[in-house]
Amino acid sequence: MRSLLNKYKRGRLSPDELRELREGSRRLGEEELERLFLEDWLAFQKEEGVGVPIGYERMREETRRRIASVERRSWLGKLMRYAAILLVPLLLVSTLYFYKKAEVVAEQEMVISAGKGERANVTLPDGTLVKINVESTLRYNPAEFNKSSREIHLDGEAYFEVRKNPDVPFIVSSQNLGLRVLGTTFNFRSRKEEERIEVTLLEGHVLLTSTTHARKRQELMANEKAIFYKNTGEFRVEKGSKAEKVAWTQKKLVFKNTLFKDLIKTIGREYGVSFELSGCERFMDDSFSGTLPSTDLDTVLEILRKSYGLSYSVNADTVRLARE
Amino acid sequence: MKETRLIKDLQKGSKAAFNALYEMYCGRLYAFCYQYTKSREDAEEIVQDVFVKLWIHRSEIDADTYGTCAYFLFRLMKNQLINRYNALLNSPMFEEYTNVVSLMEEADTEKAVEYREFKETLLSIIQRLPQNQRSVAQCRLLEELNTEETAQRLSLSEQTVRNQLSMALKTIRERLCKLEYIWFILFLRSVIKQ
Repeated sequence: MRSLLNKYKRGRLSPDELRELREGSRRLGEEELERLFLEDWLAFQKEEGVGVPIGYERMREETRRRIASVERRSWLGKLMRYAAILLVPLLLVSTLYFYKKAEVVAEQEMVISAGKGERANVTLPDGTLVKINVESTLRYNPAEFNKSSREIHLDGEAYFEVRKNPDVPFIVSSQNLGLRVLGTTFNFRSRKEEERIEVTLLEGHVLLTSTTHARKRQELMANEKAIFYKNTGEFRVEKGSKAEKVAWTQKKLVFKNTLFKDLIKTIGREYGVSFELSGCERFMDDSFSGTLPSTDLDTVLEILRKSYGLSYSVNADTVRLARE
Repeated sequence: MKETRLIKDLQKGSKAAFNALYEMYCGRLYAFCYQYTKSREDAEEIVQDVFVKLWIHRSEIDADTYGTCAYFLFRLMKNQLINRYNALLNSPMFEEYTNVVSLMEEADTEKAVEYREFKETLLSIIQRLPQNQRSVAQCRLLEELNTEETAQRLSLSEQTVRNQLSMALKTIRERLCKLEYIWFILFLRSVIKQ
């Protein structure tokens, strides 16, 4: 890490080394990184020939100015307490101004989408790693992110490794549910067409809040999965089921008592194909448990053939399944 | 030690002590931050912030084991510095910059040869510029100084530096052929960073 950082400082990183440094920074964790920086800083104290920067005069003036304005403000604060009533009209005008400004800021949004059969890996400006599953969209505002909070909007499914920062909470908001963490690893699934939102927590401790049902909240601990039912606003917590929900990040699809009709939907989404079924009505509500690959459609179809006695044919991106 | 004295005086609210500490640490802090932020504005921002905080929290300052305030200053700067470092490290722009730099340094490929030839052409064009334009172009493009530093080095006003650079760029643009001009754009991108 030391040598990578030195290369970074001198602008001598190759693209591979950049990737290594990003990985390394993320894996190190907050405290370790701080320690590295501290060591560097202390070593830097001993260096000779560090002179005065160009623009030193200007900087010093600026510092003086800022300190003066801070001191003025604290004196003013006491004055404000007595003048509050007189300042109400001023408050109204400035609220309007900031509202206008906020609209402009909100327009500059970063959107990352994965379509059918696609996935995306993204690193947010604070170093948080997000793996976005098929047919999912992540949004955030780069100008506001990592200021007082780190807020992102998710529609679909994504896996998060949130960089720890106790001063700046990380908030995932989706259609009906909000999640707030400081630094942890979890999987979040909120798809418009599904009745439930699922959050699987791998490490740490999070708080889930419903945005549609007031006062409905649920705390979640490591290795638990919370299921939020959109229509009733109820939470259900399952323990120890992390493996299956996060398997998609490792090129596998794991199913446990999944109905056939949902199974087909998930396969369709994963591979970007649509299904035409004939003669399959009888087992639409049958349960399927097992593991399917997420990178080889033929294997998947073979498994289906053997499990349900189906024949299949593939034409462009349509798959026909028929009961023999 | 002298610094311990300064720290004590600062705690009591001495402006003179603050100024002395400012002079002692400003340059070092700026240089250190710049290495990681690679942006003069960001480095300045951090330095300003640290010193304002130093003044505001002067009563809480504690000298470290060597009697200096180096450790205290670090605590004031670390969050901002690490945040900006992370933001830069993970930004697509920086990634692109790294790709371009590596492209230009490859030893023996077609692109590298083209680039070397382009660089020679650029250097000879700059050599043949009129006096002022030449020195400004050398400072801004070849030595990567910013406007302020160039103005100081050549004893010119900042506006003059900008004007001379403008004229130099126009001449360069006219004298480069289309292929070379594309290399010039890449070159500018890596030289005039933010």
